Amino acid sequence: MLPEQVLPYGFLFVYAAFGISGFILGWVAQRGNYCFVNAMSSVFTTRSYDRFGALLILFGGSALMTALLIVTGVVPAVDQYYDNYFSGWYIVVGALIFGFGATMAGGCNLSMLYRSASGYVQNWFELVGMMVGTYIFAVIIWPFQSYTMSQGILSTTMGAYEEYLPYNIFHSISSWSVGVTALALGVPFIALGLYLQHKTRSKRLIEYGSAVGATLPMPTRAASSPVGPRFPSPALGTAGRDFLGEAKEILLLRRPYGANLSTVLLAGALLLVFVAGAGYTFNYLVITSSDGGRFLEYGFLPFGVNLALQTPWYDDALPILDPSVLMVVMLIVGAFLASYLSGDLKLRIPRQKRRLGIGFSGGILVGIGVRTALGCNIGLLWTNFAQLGYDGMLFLAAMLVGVWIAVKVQRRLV
Amino acid sequence: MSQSRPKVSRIRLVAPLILIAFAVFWYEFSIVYIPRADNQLVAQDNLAVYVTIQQVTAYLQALRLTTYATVAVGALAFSYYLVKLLRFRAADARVSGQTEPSRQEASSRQAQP
Repeated sequence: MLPEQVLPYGFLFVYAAFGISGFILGWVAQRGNYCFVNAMSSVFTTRSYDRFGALLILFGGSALMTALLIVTGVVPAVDQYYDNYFSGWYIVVGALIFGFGATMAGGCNLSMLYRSASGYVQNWFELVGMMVGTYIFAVIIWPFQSYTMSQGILSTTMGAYEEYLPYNIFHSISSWSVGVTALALGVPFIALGLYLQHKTRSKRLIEYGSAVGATLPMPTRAASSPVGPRFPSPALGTAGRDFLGEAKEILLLRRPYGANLSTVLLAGALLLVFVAGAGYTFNYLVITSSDGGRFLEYGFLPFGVNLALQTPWYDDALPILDPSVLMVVMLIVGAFLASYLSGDLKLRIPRQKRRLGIGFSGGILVGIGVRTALGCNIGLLWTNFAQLGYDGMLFLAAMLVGVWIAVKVQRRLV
Repeated sequence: MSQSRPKVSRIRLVAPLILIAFAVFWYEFSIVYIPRADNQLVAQDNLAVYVTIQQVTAYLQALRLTTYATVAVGALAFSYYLVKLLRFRAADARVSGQTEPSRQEASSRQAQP
């Protein structure tokens, strides 16, 4: 079954939608300081689950919202599962390497891009390292990996509906099976995310209360809004402000976005491409194929070298162009503008020059990891939850292990 | 005088120019190299990673629109902060012009017995 187009506006509309979505992604991630790796590493370093909880809400919410579009008949189910990846050893190994490398380098694929656009030189080195890592993967790992994939060695040999949880569970892709699966997947993730956030914020409230030696007021309904501050905290310092005041501060770029507001906006960007790209292209957010793969490929073009002609992986798995190119370019523009207009834009060269080397070598691991896993934290981890697949859960578990190992290593180094 | 320090930092003026340069460079790069690379793939019969001409055209059209938008935003930001900087400089010059004679007066008063 081939994917069906939902909107009849053609490729120009699709590319424009991906560009707008990329801009939103860059802007929101910069304003919300949204980083998958930091969210995970803070679980092991400061025992803070606030941002990790937001990630779980993002995954669960994306699954529910895309399923809602299927159930209501806006998007056909085939557009949800058609691009589901193969699954196998490479997702676990790749996610582990990626989690380790990204933690060492100082950012996931999303934060690497928006921080690069905000002037973080270490992330420039990570980006270059990632391109080198992608090339190493293409030449050394891909021939072996593609062999195991074609032979079914610790790998499935077919993606699409065979990797689609409604089909795996109910042997059906009907609306009710999609709806029930999405509820079973999304609700627990959202509930767990909210619980973890509540736990962290309660702990922070107690710590703050004991620090100032005062009794704090009980939380109100307004305080639990996704935009406003949960409780008066030392970090926020805006106790008693009303909802409109908070919204104004955020709109005027005087305050960063909260984790949950960023989550809602990022999920909106995903839905935009999910609908606009349906039937035309891979209708999810994807950045790593472009920033790690195509940008290196493009970098060689002025010198008369076209990697797509003779280099493995580039010549059989990476189309020379797709909407994610414009998405990544606009992500950079969005992040640059957000940091510029908010006054965050600044050239940040780390004092310890070895941080640049760590960024570069971490970037190499990121490049190898994401390509081995067939996607990064955006194009596979987050996307696969929206696809109602199970690769995202494999990726999440393996990435957490990689982040944990990196935190241990960093403690030894310091 | 502390007032002579410009209140518009250099990055406020340079950043929009970087943004404009990036947008124009990427557009120029795209129209020159990407269709050429795609045509090379057709010539070599590598259709696995080849992209249809409709997609390349759509990409270039969408990119042109986003380049216009980016350049416009960059030019707007640059103009805004340039005017702001010139206003600050003019205000600084006025303050210096007013205080300079008073300094001379003070020094001449000190010189008198």
